[in-house]
Amino acid sequence: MKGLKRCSMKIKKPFSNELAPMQLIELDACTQCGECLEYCPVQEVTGNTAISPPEKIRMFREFIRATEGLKARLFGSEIDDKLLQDFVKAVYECTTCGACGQACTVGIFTQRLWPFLRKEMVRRGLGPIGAQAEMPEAVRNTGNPYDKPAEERFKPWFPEVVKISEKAEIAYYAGCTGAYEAQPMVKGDVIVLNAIGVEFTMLPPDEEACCGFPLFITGQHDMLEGLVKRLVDAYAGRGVKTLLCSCPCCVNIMARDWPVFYGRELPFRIRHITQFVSDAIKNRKLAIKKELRERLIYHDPCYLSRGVGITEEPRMVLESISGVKLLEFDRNRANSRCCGSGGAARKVFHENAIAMARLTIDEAVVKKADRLILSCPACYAKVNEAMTGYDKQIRITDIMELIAELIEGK
Amino acid sequence: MTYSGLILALIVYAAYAALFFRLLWRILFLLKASNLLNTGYGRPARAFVRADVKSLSDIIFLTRLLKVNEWLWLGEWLFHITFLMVMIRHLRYFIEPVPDWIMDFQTAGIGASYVFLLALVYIMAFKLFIEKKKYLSSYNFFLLTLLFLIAASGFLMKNFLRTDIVNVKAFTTGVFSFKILEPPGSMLFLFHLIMSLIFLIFLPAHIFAAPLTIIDARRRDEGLEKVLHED
Repeated sequence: MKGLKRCSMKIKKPFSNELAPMQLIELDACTQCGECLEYCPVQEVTGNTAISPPEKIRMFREFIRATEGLKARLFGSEIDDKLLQDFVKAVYECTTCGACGQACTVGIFTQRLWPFLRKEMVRRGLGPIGAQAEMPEAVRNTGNPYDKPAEERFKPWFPEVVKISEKAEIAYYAGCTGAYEAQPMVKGDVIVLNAIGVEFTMLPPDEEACCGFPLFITGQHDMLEGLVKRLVDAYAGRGVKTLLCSCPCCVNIMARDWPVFYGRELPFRIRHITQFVSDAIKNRKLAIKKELRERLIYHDPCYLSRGVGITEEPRMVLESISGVKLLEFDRNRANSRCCGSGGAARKVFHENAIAMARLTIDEAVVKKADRLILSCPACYAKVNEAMTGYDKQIRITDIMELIAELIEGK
Repeated sequence: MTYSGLILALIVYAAYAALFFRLLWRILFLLKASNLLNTGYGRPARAFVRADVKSLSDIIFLTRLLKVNEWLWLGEWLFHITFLMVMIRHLRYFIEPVPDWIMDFQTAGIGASYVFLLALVYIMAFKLFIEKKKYLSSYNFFLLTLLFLIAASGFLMKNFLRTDIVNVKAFTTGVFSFKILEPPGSMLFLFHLIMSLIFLIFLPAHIFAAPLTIIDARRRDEGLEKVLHED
């Protein structure tokens, strides 16, 4: 397979080193019932059961048994090279959306398990695959995984009317995907923050580096501690008490893993932008007066809904727009379907990602929505890309892009 | 002591020893696992009385399966609950004197054994012919087949080819007190016993692990709201 490294097996190295005890128990707990396959987006578009969640777990169990089992200790053992290669492909083709875990009959936390199985593959020199392997170098050189110049991080989209403070209790983190790949989204964020009238700060473009999520999710953890410490100290130095971000992946790693890499509790709290904006609407600091007579359908990003439990605030923001009829996908909130861009799999398995994004487009069109509302820059970029050359069309707008449009048009 | 009794007893000891060492090895393996914070800092604290009470119901009623597949749940829940009841009923073959509550449980246990057999057939048929599942685990089918053979042989012994249960009990209690006697002459009993011992050796790890992950999942679900709403 393209991008897959040749296996250099050191089978004596244990496979369990990167896993916490509960994750090892999770591997044992899988009953191989296969119920999760119905919810797996990769299964939906490939139908390849060899890369399904229970198969990944079965293969990893084999590796542990072959290296750390009683029989292996007594008589030695070998790992089938083909099995190892199949596993690497399966674990990197996954979007890590966690839908399988949400439907798991024994509650395995797969959204966290897959990245750590990837980490083990990285430790063995078998992962990451394809363009994912270039990300650490790109982050080291330019501060972002897209290898784009730092000076272009904000310049192309940052509105002149929005003023940022040198120091403030509120900070806004744009994130790499938003800044380079989904600019209407981050532009909308700062316009809305400006409209709320809140004083906020941002790091300069050469300091606002990658949050670490693309490296984390592909199992490349070496740089994470340094990245996180630099970012946290920079925000702390600006007197930040609340760090706002609209990217679900960034928010996820900030809330769940930054304290781990920082070594202690963060000196500020993390908030998703929809939390801040819905509070502002409730407190009458933001009023959306312009009417919008449209049927909107909101897609819950995996790392926002299943990841950090933000499902109601985006709906509250959308419902505060007069004239709007809010529709729901059949699978919504914590059960939402992946748009296809998760887990950095889109960088290698492009066709899968496009096919998954089109499933979301299809359902939005079938439900006769006027617009598909997204709140994730990766979803935004990929679903927009999936519209190119597709017979079904729907207008795609980021949630803050929409609010900004309505505020600017007042 | 007879040779046949000795051979059968050695098979029983070997099966139990295999299970014991497998479990011991697993416990040692987990104890030496690294104490990594892989689940993230945002994971909720350990004070989860409410979540743990709810997770008990998740374990007993297999509610996570109910949420995703109610027809399979019906078969699986009946299978698991009747399996437990059949195990309890069988205690009378290993304990002397038999406590009253086990004797009182016999009627329910016999009823459960019929439901158990039907539930097994239902699960296999459901997966193979009704739902036509894309993914079928060969290991699961091996276990289901073993259990079917155990249940079917038990059913035959109870209803058609009756075995002298006094001899059965004398043999089983003898094995566990190291006073090995002549095994019952019934081939069906021998088949039932050997299949049960094979099942013991291949006992699925989820029996021990799944309750723990179900508890953890309930704690995680209850704590998810607090990841970004901690104030």
